[in-house]
Amino acid sequence: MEGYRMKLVGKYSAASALRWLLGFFNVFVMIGAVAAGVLLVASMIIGVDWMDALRDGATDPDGNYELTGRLTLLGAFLACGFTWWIINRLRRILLSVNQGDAFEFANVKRLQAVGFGLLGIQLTALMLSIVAPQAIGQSASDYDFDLGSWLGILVVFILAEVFRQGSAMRDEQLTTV
Amino acid sequence: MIMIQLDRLLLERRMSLTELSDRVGVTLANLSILKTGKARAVRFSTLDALCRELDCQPGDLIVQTPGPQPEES
Repeated sequence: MEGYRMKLVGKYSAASALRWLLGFFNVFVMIGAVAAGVLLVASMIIGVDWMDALRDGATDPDGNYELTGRLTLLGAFLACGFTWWIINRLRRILLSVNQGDAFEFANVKRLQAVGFGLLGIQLTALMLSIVAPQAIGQSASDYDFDLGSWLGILVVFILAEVFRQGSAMRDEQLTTV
Repeated sequence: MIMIQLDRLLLERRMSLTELSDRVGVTLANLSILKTGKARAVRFSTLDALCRELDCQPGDLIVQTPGPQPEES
């Protein structure tokens, strides 16, 4: 019996479906980024008193709630922004895969951009692990070092170099008559 | 740099590039790449077909001229 095989390129291919899914997900990420951005700007104008409710009544006179509150909102904005940045690049890579031209040189730069985006998310997570608990009157939590995430970033950068070679081979193939 | 002397051979055989393309089974675009010296490599099968249709030897087609090879894109 012949098994079901998904199309490699074009409409209804795996790349096409994944691209659509990421596009759908990106709408919510963008909403999150806009919301975090608006709250950040609002905190600059009207302060962060509205975050008092999150503090559960605990108010440390030495606590710098203004700064930690704004940094938390900045972290939320950056996390959403980096996610949006990564998804956009992944969608463009999937578009080139869908067109049957995965090894175009632009994908090397896109993969590197994804790597830097992931790096940004990890650094944002590090900052949030310090400021977010302080913003709600708790002590800073330990940064949860996730080896898998850092290895994932390394893999993306290595893949970018693999794609660089693939791109050179593709160029050579295109100019071979 | 290495050049493919298609122009001269086509002129001598009174053959157009389109006609050669049809006979050899290589697209006009690829023959144009070959003619303008933008090709980075030539397959033996292409070379064989060109020599067969132009009734020549590979040495008649390929010449080396002074100057650097065009930059890789």
